[in-house]
Amino acid sequence: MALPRVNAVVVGSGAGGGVTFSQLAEGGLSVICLEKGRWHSPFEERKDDLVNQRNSSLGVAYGPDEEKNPRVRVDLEGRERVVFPHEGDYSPNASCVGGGTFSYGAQAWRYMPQDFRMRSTYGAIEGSTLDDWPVSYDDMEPWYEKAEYEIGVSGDVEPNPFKGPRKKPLPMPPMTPKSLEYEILKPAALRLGLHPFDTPLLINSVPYNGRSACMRIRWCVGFGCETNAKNGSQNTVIPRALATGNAWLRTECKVKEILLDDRGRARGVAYFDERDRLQEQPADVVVVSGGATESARLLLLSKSRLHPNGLGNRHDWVGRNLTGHTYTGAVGFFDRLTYDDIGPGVCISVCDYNHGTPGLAGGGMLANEFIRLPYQLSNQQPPGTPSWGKAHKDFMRRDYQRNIMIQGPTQDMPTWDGRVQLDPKVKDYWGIPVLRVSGDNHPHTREIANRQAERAEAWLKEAGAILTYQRRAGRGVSGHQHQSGTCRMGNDPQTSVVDASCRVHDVPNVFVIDAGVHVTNGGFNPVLTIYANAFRASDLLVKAWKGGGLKG
Amino acid sequence: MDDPYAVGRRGFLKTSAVAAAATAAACAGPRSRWRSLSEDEAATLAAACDQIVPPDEDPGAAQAGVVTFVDRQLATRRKAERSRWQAGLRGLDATARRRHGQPFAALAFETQTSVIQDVEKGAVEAADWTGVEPRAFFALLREYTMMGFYGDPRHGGNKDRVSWKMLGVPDPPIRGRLHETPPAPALAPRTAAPPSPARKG
Repeated sequence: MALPRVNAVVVGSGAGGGVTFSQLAEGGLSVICLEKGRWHSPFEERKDDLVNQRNSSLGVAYGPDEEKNPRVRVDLEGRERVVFPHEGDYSPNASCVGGGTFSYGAQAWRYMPQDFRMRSTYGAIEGSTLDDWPVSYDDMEPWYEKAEYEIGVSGDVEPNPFKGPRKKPLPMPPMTPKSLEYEILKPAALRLGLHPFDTPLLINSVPYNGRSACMRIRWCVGFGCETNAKNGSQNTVIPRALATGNAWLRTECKVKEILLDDRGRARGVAYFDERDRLQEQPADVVVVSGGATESARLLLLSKSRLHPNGLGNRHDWVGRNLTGHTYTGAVGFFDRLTYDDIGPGVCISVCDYNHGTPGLAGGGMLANEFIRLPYQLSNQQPPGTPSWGKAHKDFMRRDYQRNIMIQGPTQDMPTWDGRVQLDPKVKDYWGIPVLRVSGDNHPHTREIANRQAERAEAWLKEAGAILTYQRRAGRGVSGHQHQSGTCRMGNDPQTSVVDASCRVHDVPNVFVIDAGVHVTNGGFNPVLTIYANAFRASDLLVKAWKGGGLKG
Repeated sequence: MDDPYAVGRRGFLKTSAVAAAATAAACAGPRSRWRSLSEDEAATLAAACDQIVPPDEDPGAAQAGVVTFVDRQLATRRKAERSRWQAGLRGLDATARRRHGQPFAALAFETQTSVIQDVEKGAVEAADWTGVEPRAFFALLREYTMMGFYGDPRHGGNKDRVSWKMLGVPDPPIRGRLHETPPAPALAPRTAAPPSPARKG
């Protein structure tokens, strides 16, 4: 039986869904947000180094549920394997109220102007679907600013000469005191002629928006914040939405499909509620914000006579161009202490290598890494050091507090075959076909990423590392927490899934608002762009609603 | 019975001998104190994990409770890997008996090391290894030992936070700048050997 009709239903409560939920509610629409996961309290946070979203050796802490959500991964030789959320091959992101933003590292990057114009800047890349965004940095700038102020960002990006133009400084200063890694790396970067600066973070350096400042815990990325100083959608925009009185959040609700009428318009969604009962939620507008992989899955699952291959999939673009980031970098070992237990970890970065290297179509930001948990370092001994036995134990003892890692996200060249699709056989706990993840990263991505590893190593050597090694590019399609690209935004319906307002080309009342619409994914952590684009797209949506164009 | 979590390698040898004697007397299967493993398997594992993280001036893997850690995971989150683990422990013992005429746990430390080195390389008699490939078992042994030794004590390993004390990680690891106590001793330079010339990068 159908539930009472609402104006809009938003599927997912992460960076894209959370912002959209709040903006539609504040715009006067009645809105229901359906979230697959639970609402975790920051005060129940446990620092478990084997069960978290960073190192999930024994499982993930904030979803997806291990038993209920398998996927199929196809490796480079074409072999299939059923994978689970704690495995890297799954391409996981957290699944809870706030999505990835509850436990992320919270780097708050604006993409650079070139990042929205990759095809125009670098031309066609063979084997890549590289293209321009239909919106520019200038279009995004006011929305970046809104995201920085309403979600809350600290840092100091003024010393970065490569950044796009901005009208206002960040709302919060960088954290003080600086950590030891910052003090070691900054002068070294300056000696190399680089332009180091304080990494922008969605973490309060001072009390902000009614919540406290960071207490500088080092176990930050992958964990929730027990002092609630890390800003995600769950403690910023979602409470704002709920405060309007015309918005409701339902947790542990797994959406099965978007329901379509005879005219090809959406009439709502079908979902399994927290007791696995099938429900129908009628709505005038459906917003899909499940993250790039699950949003593509929902579009592909929503078939009708007019959409036989799934919503927005008339030209076979849904699920393709899956990108994340190819991470590379270097580890340096020092004959001095580098560890002072002052978090949250990443604090110094450079953008000298994002663009402008002859022969390379882009690059990426480099920054020092968050803490490596003791178990993680146990897998990162330098070449030549045994992986077990007395020599390995000596390495751990000597070097745990004497190492620094620098790494960064290389901007992926998207490909047609790096993709997710519905698996023909495997079903999840609810009987819904699961995703099948396949493809490789582009060879040029690996070439750029390996150059980044050399640059990271040079920085560490300049900083005095007595032994360094590079972490070079791996193979296989990326995705993971930075998953993007599967519902590409564009002006041409033949080569994209949604238009510049994030509306599915041939369905007037279905929108995709998450990183799935990113045409390219920058050489940066993507979350601030997801927030900003969600503010932009939901503003357009509210205007269209008020103009009467969206009512069935 | 003593706290089973507190048993080190020597303790295992002793208790498994006792268990074997009791079995012979009662003509019944040995009752294991473990959730997933038999007493013999636990004794083999205690010796094998001490090869991965050996005891020296700081405790080794067995004393840190790695056997408890593995046993608990194989009964809970990692049930699916139990049969491979048991096949691997059988293989390790079979290789030890074939080459040295004694169970793995009874061999001298250096002899055990050479056996593990061959398991890591896959250079062992295939007939002794059914149900798991020797190199895959070595990967399991190493992965679980590192998790149990360096990971959170709530999972049964890292007893008394021995590895975190060894590394100088604050405990609980959530202090940030709000240290209530002075920094851990390891924040002062340790007396570890200086880096060898080979480490110059």
